[in-house]
Amino acid sequence: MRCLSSVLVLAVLLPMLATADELTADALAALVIERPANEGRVGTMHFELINKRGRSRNRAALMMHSDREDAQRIGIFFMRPSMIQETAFLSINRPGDNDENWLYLPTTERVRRLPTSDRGDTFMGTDLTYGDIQENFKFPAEDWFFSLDTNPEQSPYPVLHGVARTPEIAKELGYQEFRAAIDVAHQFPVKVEYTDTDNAPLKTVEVKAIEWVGDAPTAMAFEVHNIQTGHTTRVHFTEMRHVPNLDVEFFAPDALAYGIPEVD
Amino acid sequence: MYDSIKRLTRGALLVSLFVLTSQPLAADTDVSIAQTLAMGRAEHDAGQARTTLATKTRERLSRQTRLNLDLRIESALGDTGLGTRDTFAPLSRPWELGANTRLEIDEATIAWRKRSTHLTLGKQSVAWGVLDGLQVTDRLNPVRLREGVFTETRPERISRWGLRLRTRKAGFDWDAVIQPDTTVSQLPLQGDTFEPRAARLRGGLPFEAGNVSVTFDQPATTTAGLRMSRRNGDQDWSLLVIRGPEYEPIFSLDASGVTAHYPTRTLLGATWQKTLGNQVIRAEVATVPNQPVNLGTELGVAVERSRWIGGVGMDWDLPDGWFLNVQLAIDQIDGRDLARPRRDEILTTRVRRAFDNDQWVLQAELIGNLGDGDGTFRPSLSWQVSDGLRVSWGADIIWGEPNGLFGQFDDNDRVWLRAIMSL
Repeated sequence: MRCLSSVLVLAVLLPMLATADELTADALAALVIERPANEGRVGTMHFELINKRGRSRNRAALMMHSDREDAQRIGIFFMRPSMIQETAFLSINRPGDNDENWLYLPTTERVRRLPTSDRGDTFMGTDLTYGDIQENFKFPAEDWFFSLDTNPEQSPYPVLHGVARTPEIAKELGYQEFRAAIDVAHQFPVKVEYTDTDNAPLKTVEVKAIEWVGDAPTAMAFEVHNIQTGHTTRVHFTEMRHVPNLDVEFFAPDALAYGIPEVD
Repeated sequence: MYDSIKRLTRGALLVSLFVLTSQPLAADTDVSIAQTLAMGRAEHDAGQARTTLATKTRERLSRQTRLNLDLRIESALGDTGLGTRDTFAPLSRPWELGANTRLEIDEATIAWRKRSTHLTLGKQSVAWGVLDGLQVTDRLNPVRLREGVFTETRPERISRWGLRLRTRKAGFDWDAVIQPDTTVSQLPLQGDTFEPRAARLRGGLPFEAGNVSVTFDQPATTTAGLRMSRRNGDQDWSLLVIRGPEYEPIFSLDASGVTAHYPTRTLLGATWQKTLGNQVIRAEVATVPNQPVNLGTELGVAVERSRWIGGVGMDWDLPDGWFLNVQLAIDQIDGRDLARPRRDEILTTRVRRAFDNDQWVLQAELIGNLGDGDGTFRPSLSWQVSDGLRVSWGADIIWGEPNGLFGQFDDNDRVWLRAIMSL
């Protein structure tokens, strides 16, 4: 069913890519936004954090993602290293409603509600922001003005250019602009370049592997490089699987304190 | 010197034995060692050398059932030592492995979960409330006070044996706890650096009265608590009741010395928190209609009075990665004839900033009692050297009058170094 809807979206949107630039840019952005999502997927997320001197640190976490009509939910439960074991992060995004972010720190034994608006804050020492985690390689139309990059540097993909709609949004996201090469077949950006709020080059995100999980194209490996700090975060997933009807009880804030969940 | 070497050798042997025996228990066992060193002013020894070896074992017995076992061995030299044992119920009491070494169970639970129902049986701690480090409704489990409030995390809850059931019914989250374990808050040993000196914490008995033997009268009452809460998008609230022994002691005095008592009290409380963009506002209120408290006018005499505690706090996500938390709590007991002041107003301010992808964390906390004008400033810097090693430096700077909540430790300014290594 999801495959069919994906084909329908492509059938409607692809012809629009050939029309006027503005429409084409919006259509390209819509293509990414409309990318099919799994009702539920679960996998182990591996982070490699490499500083500019080449020293690396590693993290592993259980990642659960649920995309339902009422909300998108993301749960990340850290398994390694042991110093941050059982630290857990939960994000609940309800369309037209305020987002909820929660963090469980084992040392405090308490699930803590986090402020939501600073999506530009870095996530657990990685080069990803909380916004990157929540938006899952999508560019919400309420945040960006879109255009097509007319001078892509020999990119085989169309390049979507986004400018933050307001200075406040730029500040909140930590990004002023982006340029994203879009793999139309997968409805996925494969390389994104961001600038900071002063419009200086900030970071690049390169998607190294895309696989179908259930009916949804999913980034299985990607690399984020911060140009300003020289720090790099490599992420890859193992044991990624489609879990239909993933129980939303796993995403209850209190459940963060129950430890790393066991999902069938 | 010889004794110290002997103790350390014995500690090292125990540590080795502990690591070796814990490994076969389960596939998922983590071991960590924390070493804390502190140095105070020469004339008042706030020095400390404490080694903590901790294991965390997680064993999944079935898809719905899990076993958790957290143990710690602590060994300490110096006067900021291991604290009282008599305040623990016999089943919870740390085992002495030597004069300065103890083994304690931090958690021993078997947990069963099905959808929104979660049942936990065993030695566990329960953290209620929404404020950080200010205990308004977070009063179900006792805490470690062997270093006052000058600990890495605050409060350091002490687990107790009991049963906890969490479930969702009729649109509310329910959390019911029963703890027959009668452990109360752990205090510093007599003569330790952070032994209470203010008369307000000694039942009115002045510190200058000299050393008196204190007997701990173990309470006989089971602690029970029930919390009902509801989450609604950007805000949540809870109502709760806790009944059990007060874990802040009151003191009686007779010819044989001083006895610490823990009478039963009932606490009714409520919490609320709400997200407002880049801020989160939190509030708690609690009342104890039958708070046991010592009179200041008659030594060793206690009465029951009404107590109100309220607190409000706010988190700000500031530009450039700075985080700010400010909290104010007011703790009031009826009557002006008490060993403690009628009202305490505690203000806490904490700033935090991580650098270099969280490899460095700078933090500073200012805690003050507005009524007494005393307080403490606690800056610290942490360096995550590698995945398995973190080193932290910090200082506890304390000021105020001798009878103040913080000022009583005015002479205990110290700098400290802590290293935590995961094996």
